[in-house]
Amino acid sequence: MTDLSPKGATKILLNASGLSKQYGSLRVLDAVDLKLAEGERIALMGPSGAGKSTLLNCLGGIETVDAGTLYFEDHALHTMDEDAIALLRRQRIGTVFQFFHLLPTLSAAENIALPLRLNGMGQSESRERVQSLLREVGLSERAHAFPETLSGGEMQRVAIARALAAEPALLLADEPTGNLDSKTGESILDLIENLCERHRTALVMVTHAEASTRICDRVIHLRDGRVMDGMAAS
Amino acid sequence: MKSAVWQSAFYMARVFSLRHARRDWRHAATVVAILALGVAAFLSIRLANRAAVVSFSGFTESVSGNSDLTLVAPLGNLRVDDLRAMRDALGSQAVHLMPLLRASASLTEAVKRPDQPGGGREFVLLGADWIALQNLSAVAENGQRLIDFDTLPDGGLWPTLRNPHHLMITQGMARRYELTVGTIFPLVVQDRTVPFEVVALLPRRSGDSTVPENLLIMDIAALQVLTGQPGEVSQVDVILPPGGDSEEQLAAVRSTLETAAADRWQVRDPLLEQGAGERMTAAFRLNLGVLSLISLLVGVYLVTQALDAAVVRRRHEIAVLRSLGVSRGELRAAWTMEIGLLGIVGSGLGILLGWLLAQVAVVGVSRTVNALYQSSSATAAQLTSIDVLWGFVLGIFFSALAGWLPLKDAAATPPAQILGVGNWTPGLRLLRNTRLGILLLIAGCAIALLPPLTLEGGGRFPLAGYLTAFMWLTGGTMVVASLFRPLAAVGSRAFGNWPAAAIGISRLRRASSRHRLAAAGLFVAVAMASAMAILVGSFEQTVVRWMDVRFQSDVYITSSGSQSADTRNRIRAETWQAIAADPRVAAIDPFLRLPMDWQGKSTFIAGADLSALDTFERLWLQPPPSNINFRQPHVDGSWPAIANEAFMQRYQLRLKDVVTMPTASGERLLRIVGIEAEYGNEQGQIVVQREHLQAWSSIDELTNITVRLLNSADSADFIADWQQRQPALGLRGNRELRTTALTIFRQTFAVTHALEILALFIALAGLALALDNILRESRDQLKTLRQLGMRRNEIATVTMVEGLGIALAGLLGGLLLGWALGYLLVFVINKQSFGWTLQWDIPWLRLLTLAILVMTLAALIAWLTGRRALKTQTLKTERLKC
Repeated sequence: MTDLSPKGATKILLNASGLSKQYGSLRVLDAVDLKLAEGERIALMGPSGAGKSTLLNCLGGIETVDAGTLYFEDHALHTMDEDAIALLRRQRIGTVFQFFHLLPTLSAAENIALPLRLNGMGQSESRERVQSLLREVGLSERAHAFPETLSGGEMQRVAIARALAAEPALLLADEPTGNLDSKTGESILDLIENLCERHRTALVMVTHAEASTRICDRVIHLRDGRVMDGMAAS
Repeated sequence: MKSAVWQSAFYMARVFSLRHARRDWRHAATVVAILALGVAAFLSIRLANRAAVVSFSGFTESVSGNSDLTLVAPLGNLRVDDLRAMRDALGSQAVHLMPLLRASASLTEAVKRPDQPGGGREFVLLGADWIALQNLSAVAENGQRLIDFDTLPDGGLWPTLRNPHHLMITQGMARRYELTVGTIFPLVVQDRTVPFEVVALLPRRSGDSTVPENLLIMDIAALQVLTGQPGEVSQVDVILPPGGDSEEQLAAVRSTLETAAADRWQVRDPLLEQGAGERMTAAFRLNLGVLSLISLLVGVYLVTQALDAAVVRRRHEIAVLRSLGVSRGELRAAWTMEIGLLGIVGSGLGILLGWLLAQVAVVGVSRTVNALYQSSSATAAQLTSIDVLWGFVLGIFFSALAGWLPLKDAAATPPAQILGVGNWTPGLRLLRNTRLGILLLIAGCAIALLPPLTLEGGGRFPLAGYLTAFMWLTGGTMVVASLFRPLAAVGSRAFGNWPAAAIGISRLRRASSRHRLAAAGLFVAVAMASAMAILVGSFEQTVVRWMDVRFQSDVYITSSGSQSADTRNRIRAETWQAIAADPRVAAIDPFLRLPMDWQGKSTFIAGADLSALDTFERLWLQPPPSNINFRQPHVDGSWPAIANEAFMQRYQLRLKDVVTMPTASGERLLRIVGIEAEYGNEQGQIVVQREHLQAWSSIDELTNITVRLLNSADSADFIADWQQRQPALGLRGNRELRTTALTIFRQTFAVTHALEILALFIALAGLALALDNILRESRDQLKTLRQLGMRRNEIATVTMVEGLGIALAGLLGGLLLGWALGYLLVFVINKQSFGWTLQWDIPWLRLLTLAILVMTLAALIAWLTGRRALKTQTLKTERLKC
């Protein structure tokens, strides 16, 4: 079995062992082992149907696994109930989607404030944090704009700010540049890299583009639900 | 942990629900309006019911204060001799005896106000001993006197009191008819118009009682003179002096009076008497209440669909929230808050609307109470804090009921990573539980066999019947979607070569929960509408058949002052004897009907010319033997009598049973020799030969007369002639009576047509909402169809086929259940409530019209929804994914 442990890492954030997932007779994940250190960034690559998104969903507790163990920090995700995982996700895991998934009825600032408010933060406190995040993603001027008036790149910036608002330990990104032109995509990748660096946030990113892996420490290739290898990103 | 859940739920409800309500205010307003209408329907009926009942309870207690016992004759009136016997029996016991005589008075045609139809036309005319009244009111706790003697006209107290044209009226009546002391106010008493003079106004309250608005007071002796009942009283109130050991004293007085009664009078508890009106109408009010609840329940389907639409529209938002770590519990809590808020707003508006509607409904309810039970003059309904509480409880309960399935669906939404926008068909699993549906249908059949609940006062409430209807409607909604597959199979064979139709049919074959919900809504509405149509059709056919038999004579006569079921306005002996002696008259059927309490239930005993059954036909369920002589008793001393079906049901009797009836001249045995179909009231009626009843009750008046004229006589001339001689008589020809009866019948059932239209509206609005939801969830498919080159009209045709399939499933299932519900209404609910057997009649033309309307409108709505969805949703797809 290939060793997918982080090189020279100090503390393990995520530890998956023998993860398997099946839809009917189709085995989507087949005994996947994966370790992720604090602040480490990895890319998941592979052809369509390889199980990248399913693995990402399992790591975020969105989907349950059929077999295997999954530890996030001190939490055994594979034994926790759905509501407990939801609470953990709210506090410790951020997600960025290919189609941004901003809430159309909320302004950019309100979208970013959402996880903070859900975590019980007061309005004034969250306002300061949102302002700071908006500055970090370069959208201070667009705080009150609604998603329908934002460009694709701007929407993804807001989505990244929202994902990092609660200062999660792990950021899951499902093809974050997949719906953007190459120039905007590059800037989004830079933003993710900078922010993860600054906040010491670990990253698991699903991508089809080899070029996107430049912000990652390692690349993991999946095929037919199995890990083919794990290598340091070039 | 729990408070944290509610905290974030509160935040979400504030940020999302309120914002959505503001952005999509039409949708929110629709849900609130439906809830408000449902609450209003229930509350208006509740308020109107109460107003109608309150207005006829407590005539005498407001006059004599809270009496301790009431003495009445078993039938008809008490005599002065009885009063003396009571006094003698009581000996030296310190007890007040307050004799009262009750009569009726009605507005003359000239005074009837067009803005007061029904309510307020008949008044209770009470004769009392004024001096005793004053003495009693002086000993009342507040010491306020009932009558202010200072306002009486000049000429001395006694001449004023004893004048049979002097009258005291309530302040409410004075205001309504613009009367003051000294005004001449003509009223019909018995069969004459009497020009009364108002001599005093009664206060609004007397002791602890509110004085009913339709109460008129005269001196008892004057009323005896006016109505030709010298020495007669309707009841005697027994009043113990204040202080002392009243419980013991009351028991002693009661015992003395019961021992001395010897069948001449009955001793009754006035507290029970006060509630008699409520008990008598309990079944009627309960039935109305349940009907209004059913209308609210039907509205629940529409609210469910509207809330379901909200879930579909916000599915993306919910999915993102789930991705951000919002738990199912928090989502449920947020939706509960939203639904609760809708319930509160809807209830608040509903209470206001209900109060307004009650002011209109009270006239209709009062009219029915008048016709079936007792004089009621309610014209305004009061709203109490309990009503407001009821409104809120009901509104919130039904909004929770309506929101339950959508709430489950919302909470089941997966996070955005899993949710493939546009192709996810969730929850509402209950509608897929066909087995439970079949179980409910079968259980409903078994429950329908249970007997009705017997209420205090003798009314019967068909609880089992209503439960069956509820179970059939609920079970049917789970089963009706089973029709999709066979319909799709038939459709494929017929239209499989037509691409648009084939796609539409294929979508029906794999019907989602939304298809099921839409079919369920239509199913309920069609079932209700067709069941109502069958009930009304059966009722109308039965009444027409009854009229064909009963209305074969030439002229029908009553007092024009006879406005309620317990009216005392009857035709005096001198009048009906003069009519009988008219040379143009070939035969008359004299009819006297008296209310009575028998075995603790209120009913009627009547006298008619039963020896002339060949001349004046009746509609028989069990005809009497042809050789029977109604004038003679049987060898066992029992008198032959005929009963109507309601009477037999009410007292659980069978043909040939012998019953013992108390009368003023002792107990009489009556043998039931025939059962007739008669639709006058639900309290039942037993009929004996008229002369016997007149002798037993000492009442020589008649309630009405049916006249058959000689062939040579002209009925129009006869009517005109007698109308001129006796303006206070109500005379109608055969045709006029039939027309009037049918008009009243159709007016009574007009509300059912309104319900049918409402049901149809609900069904079609529900279909439009459901199709819109289905298309929202299928917008990726719509886009694909567009990309495949289908034109807008072709895609709209796909939707139309889908809509027609849903409509057809709902229609076929609804008609089938409508037939079953119709059977339940005619043979179980109606029979148990009123004791009437109706002729089963299916109004085919009306059902066919309903079917054509549903299918045509469904096709049109589906087509338009499809066109609209294409315009808006496919364009919005990308934006929705922001």
